Amino acid sequence: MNVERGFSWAAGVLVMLSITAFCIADDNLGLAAFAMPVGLAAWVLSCRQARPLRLPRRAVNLVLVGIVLLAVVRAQQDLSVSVIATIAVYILLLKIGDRRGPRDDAQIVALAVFLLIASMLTSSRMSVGLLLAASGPALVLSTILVQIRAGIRAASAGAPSRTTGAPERHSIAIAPRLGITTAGAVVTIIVAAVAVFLIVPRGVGENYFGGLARREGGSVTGFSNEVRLGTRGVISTSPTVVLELAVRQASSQADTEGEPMGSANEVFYLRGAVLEDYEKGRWTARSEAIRGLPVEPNGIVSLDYERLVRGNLIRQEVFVRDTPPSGMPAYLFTLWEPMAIQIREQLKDRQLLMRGSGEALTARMNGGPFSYVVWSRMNEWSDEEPQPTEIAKFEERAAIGAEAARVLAAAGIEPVPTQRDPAENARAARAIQSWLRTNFAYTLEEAGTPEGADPIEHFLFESKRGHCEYFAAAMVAMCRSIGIQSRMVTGYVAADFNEASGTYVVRESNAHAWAEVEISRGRWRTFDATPPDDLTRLHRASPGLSGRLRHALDAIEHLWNRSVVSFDERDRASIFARGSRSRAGDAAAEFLARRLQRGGRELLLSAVLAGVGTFVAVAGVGLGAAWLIRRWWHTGEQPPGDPRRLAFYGEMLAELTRRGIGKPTWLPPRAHADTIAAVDAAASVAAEEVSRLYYRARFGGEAITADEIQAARRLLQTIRKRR
Amino acid sequence: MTEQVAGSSPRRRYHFHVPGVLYVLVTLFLAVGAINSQNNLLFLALGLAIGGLLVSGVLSGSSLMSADLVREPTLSAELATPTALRYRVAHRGRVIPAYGIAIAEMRSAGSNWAEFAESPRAFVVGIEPRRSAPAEATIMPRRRGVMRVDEVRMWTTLPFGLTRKSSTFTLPMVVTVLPPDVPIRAGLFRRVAARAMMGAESSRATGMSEEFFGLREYVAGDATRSIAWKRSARIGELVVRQTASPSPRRLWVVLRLDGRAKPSANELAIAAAAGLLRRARAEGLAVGLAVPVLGLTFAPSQSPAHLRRLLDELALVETPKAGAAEVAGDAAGRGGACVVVHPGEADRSIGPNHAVHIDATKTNEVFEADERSLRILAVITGASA
Repeated sequence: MNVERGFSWAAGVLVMLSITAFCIADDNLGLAAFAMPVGLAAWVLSCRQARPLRLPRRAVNLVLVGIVLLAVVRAQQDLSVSVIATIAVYILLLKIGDRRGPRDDAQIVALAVFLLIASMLTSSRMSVGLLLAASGPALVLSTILVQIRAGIRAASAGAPSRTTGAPERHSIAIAPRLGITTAGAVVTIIVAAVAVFLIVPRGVGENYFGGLARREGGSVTGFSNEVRLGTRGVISTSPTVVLELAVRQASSQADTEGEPMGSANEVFYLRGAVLEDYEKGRWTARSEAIRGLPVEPNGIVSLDYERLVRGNLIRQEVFVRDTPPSGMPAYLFTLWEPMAIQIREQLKDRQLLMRGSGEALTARMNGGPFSYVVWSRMNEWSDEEPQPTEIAKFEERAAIGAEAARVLAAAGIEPVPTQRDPAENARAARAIQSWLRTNFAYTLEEAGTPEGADPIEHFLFESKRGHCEYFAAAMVAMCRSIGIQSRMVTGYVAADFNEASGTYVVRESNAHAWAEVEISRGRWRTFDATPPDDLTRLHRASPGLSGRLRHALDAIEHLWNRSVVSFDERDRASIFARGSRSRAGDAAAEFLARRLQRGGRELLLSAVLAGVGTFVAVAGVGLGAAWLIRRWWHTGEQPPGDPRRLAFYGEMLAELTRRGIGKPTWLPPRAHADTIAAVDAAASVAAEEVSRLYYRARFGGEAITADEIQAARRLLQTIRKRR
Repeated sequence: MTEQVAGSSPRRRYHFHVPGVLYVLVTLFLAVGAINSQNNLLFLALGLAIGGLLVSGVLSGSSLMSADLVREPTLSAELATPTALRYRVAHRGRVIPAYGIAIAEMRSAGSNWAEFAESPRAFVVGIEPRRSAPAEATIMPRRRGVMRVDEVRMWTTLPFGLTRKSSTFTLPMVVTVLPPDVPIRAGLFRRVAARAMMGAESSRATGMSEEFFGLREYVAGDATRSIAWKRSARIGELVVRQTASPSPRRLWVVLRLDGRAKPSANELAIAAAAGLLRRARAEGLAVGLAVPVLGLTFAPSQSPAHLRRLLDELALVETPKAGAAEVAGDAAGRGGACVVVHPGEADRSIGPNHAVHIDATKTNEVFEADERSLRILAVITGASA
């Protein structure tokens, strides 16, 4: 491979990977659909030896002016990394069409590097990380080749003409062992990168420079802290992973090794927003009941200390892939009501916001991935005296009340609140849930509600079909109409359990709404009126090949998130603590101490002998390996006169002998090549060329490249063909 | 076998390099960004940037610290003709190959190459460990004379262009830039050399030609064919007839330089004189040179060394000042053909009567009109090549 072709490949791969990485990081499919084919086509055309693509200067300047104007307009609307990088993609494409020299190539490589950095600033997902890793060798190789091409160009610029015998740029062989050197450089750089990654302490200087290099974050769709019923649309079925959840039982807050919870058949409800107020088809949270709780990075905030210290906790480790843009409040999803929470990252205002009576937690994030640990107690386990709940506002609907009363009557439960035993509340709620599950159909399609009609009434009495928000809203409305306090909760259903990682993978499509009902004074319980079959069908991964494949990818991504994206000071400290004094090391030291105490001198002698033996064995293996490496090295070195590399010359002589024009021993090779010209001119030329190469290597002490050996073998073919 | 020019130990140093500064700034940005945002991918990127810096330092250092440069001799060059300054880079490293080594001549007190050519540059793509590689910088001298080169700098920015490390070697060398080799038109040369071909004068030594040299006494062993019978009968003793040795065909080239003529006209005259000398030597003629205005006269000789000496003299010839007195150069043109080369209108008072006069400025009459000649002539006359 020559320098030009090597650069074409390396830089082409780098350009395509950088564009792909940014488009994936930015979720910009439109840009990907435009930039990738255009970039690939432009690159291929610009690399042609004959008539390479060179856009006219005027056209380039015109397009550049257009891009600058676009940049100005976009920057006025929103000056972000995403916007700047998108402009950079356009400039990169233009630059590919305007490659006129090494400087342009260097600029193309620099733009590709900028896109890779922009990708990092935009997203931390594994696909971006993999693309960055894949770009590494291409980046190293193309950077080296940019230098070499620039050097060749600078040297040939002084050469007055081709008559000097200077080789054409396209025929200059790539430097020796460049592939090995590149691989070595990449490995060294990766090792250095890992070392820096592990050594640099985390948490120091966070937010010191404000929003610098902060990811702006994406919008988490699928979940909403407000429900609007009756509007047309389709519920999101996006498989984009929102968060990962690991659940364990914990005897106390300090217990991190408790029994893991979760299985493919177990479903957890991750509470997000608690919506209590309903008006004209709109469910909202009660904004007046917000209290702030100060929180430090990695600090634990006790929300209910008395219940926390009683133990019997559920420890939930939540890793959120992405949070809303910087400064916007994000919900912290929890199973049941949280007792305590530990947040690893630094929050925007260094405080948590607890909303309403439903203990929903929000915080202002800095954007990007986010992880936290929550300790909860299951509602059913509550054994303490609950606090009374304030009654929420609800517009009474006679028709709904009548329908609820009918359902309760059918179940043999007293519908009148004042006459009903409060202990019957749970049964009443179950009856309503069961009635909704069996008499209504689930659909993701939102057909809308006629003008002036109440969406819940329309669902209950007209359409009898809807999605989870309708079921939850109907459940809450019916419960309230018969005097049972209830509220709507939006969040996610954790139903997709990944055996490999031991975590639940929660996607945008797992967004869900359900009801919480006060089954006794201050004691709330989850009721999901959505038909369970539909719930399972929608929220669980397919058991087929695609489902398994998705599980495998999720497990890998989970590993990436745990080991790279959410790597923090605690992980760092634990690695170095483990490195300095491992548990296995401790155990071995203890064992040795005990044995020495018991065995005394004999044991000491045998230990010394064993040590010496081990040393000899290790040294022997090491020396053997060194010898093998040295031998391999010398084999790989291939000195210029190495007969193995010059075998082509012997083959040529043998071939000439076979053809009856063998070389007499007294005649020098090139002289013989001259003499056979009369017999076969082409063979003479080939023999002359092969002999010249042989002279160079054998007597000139010059190393011959693999390309030259290949060329010699092709010449041999020429001699053979003429037999 | 040519002798290589090896210098004293090189001066090694690092240079300020804009891409390197940019790289450091980007690395600093990554560091600040990573610390500020605690984005682990940025920490990884920071690690990669630092790793790149380390690898760059190690590779460029190992490439250059263990590389030696020697100059391979370039004995002469020709005006307006591409000439290679040759070097050999030896890489003493044991493991890592050296890549992207650029070589350039440096300006120093001991050098004057800048008067002769643009900056000579060479480049070596790569050298395997414990190997050497040739390199050559092609120059096109724009004037005749003695070109001195002295210091050579070898540098590399590989692998990533972040650091520029250099080694400067003192490798002095002198190159004589000869007048260009522009072929003289065949017809003109035949006309010039016609007299030389006829043989105007016999030799002063005995030899094997047909021409009579003299008589001497007969000695035993002389061929009876060589006895001059009539003369022997007249004087009464045997005498034999001796013949002269073959006369070498000689061409005198008389170069007339005129301080009042354009410099390019004088250069054309020098080029024509050099062309005539080369062509005549190639045809087997003994060539002599006279430059009357400088008082130079070199008797004809056939040896290659003599031609080289004449060309060296032409390389060093300087155009006289206007009004400089012509020296007659009596010896020029004696015995053999003579051609007087003028930098313009022929002055027929110079040279012997039988001399052929050439106006070198009439290039289409004097020089062959092939592509190479036209290019060289364009350089001499200052026209665009």
